[in-house]
Formats: sequence, structure tokens, C-alpha cells
Amino acid sequence: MRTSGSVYVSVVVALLVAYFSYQWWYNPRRAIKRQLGELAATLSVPPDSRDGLDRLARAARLRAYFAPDVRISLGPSRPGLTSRDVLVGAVAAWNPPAGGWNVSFVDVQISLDSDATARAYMTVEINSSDPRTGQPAYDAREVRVGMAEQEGAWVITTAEPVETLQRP
Amino acid sequence: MRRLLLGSNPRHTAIRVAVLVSAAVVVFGAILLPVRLSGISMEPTYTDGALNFANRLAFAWRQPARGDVVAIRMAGPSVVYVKRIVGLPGERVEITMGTVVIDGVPLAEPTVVHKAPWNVPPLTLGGDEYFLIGDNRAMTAENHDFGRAARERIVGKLLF
Repeated sequence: MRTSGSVYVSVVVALLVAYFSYQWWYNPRRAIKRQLGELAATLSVPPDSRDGLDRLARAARLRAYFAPDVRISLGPSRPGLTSRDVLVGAVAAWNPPAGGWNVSFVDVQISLDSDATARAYMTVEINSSDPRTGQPAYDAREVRVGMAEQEGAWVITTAEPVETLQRP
Repeated sequence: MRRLLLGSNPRHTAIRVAVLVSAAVVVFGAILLPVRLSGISMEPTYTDGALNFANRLAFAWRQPARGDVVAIRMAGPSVVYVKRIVGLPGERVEITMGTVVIDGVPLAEPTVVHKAPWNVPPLTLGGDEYFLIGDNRAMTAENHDFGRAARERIVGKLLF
């Protein structure tokens, strides 16, 4: 009896391990959330990280999160970015604030269109500090992104801001 | 020490703790949304860093009204705007030299202290749209997030 009980327990544990492994590694929603979390970490800039090499390395790491033909809208009044190379170039040229900033994606909602395409809708939070006063500064924007699985990784194919409060 | 932690009747203490935790989960999970204000757009009514709660049940039995200070969700309720309702569904809203005008009538706003000369062209709100704006009109319009939002974005009314 003890032996068969141990077998049952082992089977249940194995099933649980398989379930959570699937959820963590293979469930597309989890994979997309994990990828977006890593992107947020890459976009975050630690305080006093204004070294040019850091900036170039960060920009290079971004390539893993965007499709080569990514299209990024910056709103109706500004021209968008039309490729990954343009995006990486823009990030490499951008000088981060002295106090750094922390980017996080919250309220991430993912809908799968197919096995290889998905959409994500989320709020992008940016926490930073004013370089002159040291006071904390905060901004948040809604963003809608399109994603596709390319070569085993989920990458962003489109990104556009969503206006929470629409001006006339 | 054990008596201090568990009381004279540990079973009753456990029930009290369970009831308290359940009540907190229900109240703060489903009814009151904790809100910490960030920014100066609602000054002088609310200052940067102020703590408050959005009552999710405030509009369960009535529709949002002009003058209500409400929380407006972004992608979800984790991040919300806090603004005052000045325009109601179907109304024509414009801002002329800092004064909000509703259907051609200037709106009296006792909570607004200084008015910068903002100008916003007229627009007619949709059937489920509200016009929301902060109380701090001394700042520039470019730095102040305001505009119309659908009813479904309004999470609740600020408690105090």
C-alpha cells in the first residue's frame, strides 16, 4: 500500500511539474510576458549609467526584442520609426537622464491571434528622478503592440500609443 | 508570549484573523482602489503624493456627475488618472481663455484658483463620453493631460 501511495504521489508531483514547466516555458502568454519583462529591464537605465559603451550595448540588446521591419508609431504629430535599425540607432543616440530611469509594463493583457501572432495591451510606467532637484518623476502611457514568433522568440512587430484622455 | 499572540482562545483568534483578512481582500480588492497621486495637475485640491481611495461602487446606482473627481484607468486599474468631470455625455465643450464653456455657458469652477489662457476648440461628446480635466489650470495646457474618455474607463469616485 505504501508503495502504490508513493507512486500516486510521484505521478501527481510529475504532473504538477510538467504543468508548471509548460506554463513557464511553453505557454505563449507566459513567453510573451517574460519577453516583455526582459524588454522593460533592457529599457531601464541604472543611475549614473551615461557611459557610451553601456548605451551602445543596451541598444544592441534591443535587437532581440523587435522584428527587423518593426513599425513604431509615436503619435499623430510625430514621425514614426520604420525599422529595427532606425529604432536601435535612435536609442543609441539618446542620452539617458543622469538619475537613470526604471521602465515597467503593468496591466499587460495578451490576446493570441494565432500560434505565431499576438497582441499585447499594457501601461508603460517610467520612474525617474529630476536631475536638478532629485525629486522623483513619474510618467505612464498606454501602448498597444503587435507581436510575432520569429525563430523561436516573440518579437514586437508594431507598437502604437493609446490616448487615455483624447484631446479635441 | 504564546498567549499574547494567540489570545486566550486560539480558535476564536484564528476566526477573527480570517474575517479581517477576508474583509480587507473584499474591501481593497473589489470596492476601494488605493490611489497615490503623482504630479501637480490636481492642485490645489490634491497635492503630489497624496493618498486616497477610488470608490468603485460610487457609480453603481447613479451615473458620474459634473464636479466628481474620478479615477480613470489606463490599460488596467494599476495606473489611473485622477481628474474632475466637467463635461457630460452629449454636451458641447470648449475652453476659451482658460474658462470651460458647456453648451455655450461658462462653467463656474470654485476649485480652480488660477486660469492660464488655455484655448481648446469645441467638441461634442459622444453618448458615453465625459470630459475630464485637472484643477490646476495655472500650468501650461501642453503639460496637462486632459480630454474626453469613455464611461467604461471611469473606475470610481475619489473617497475624500
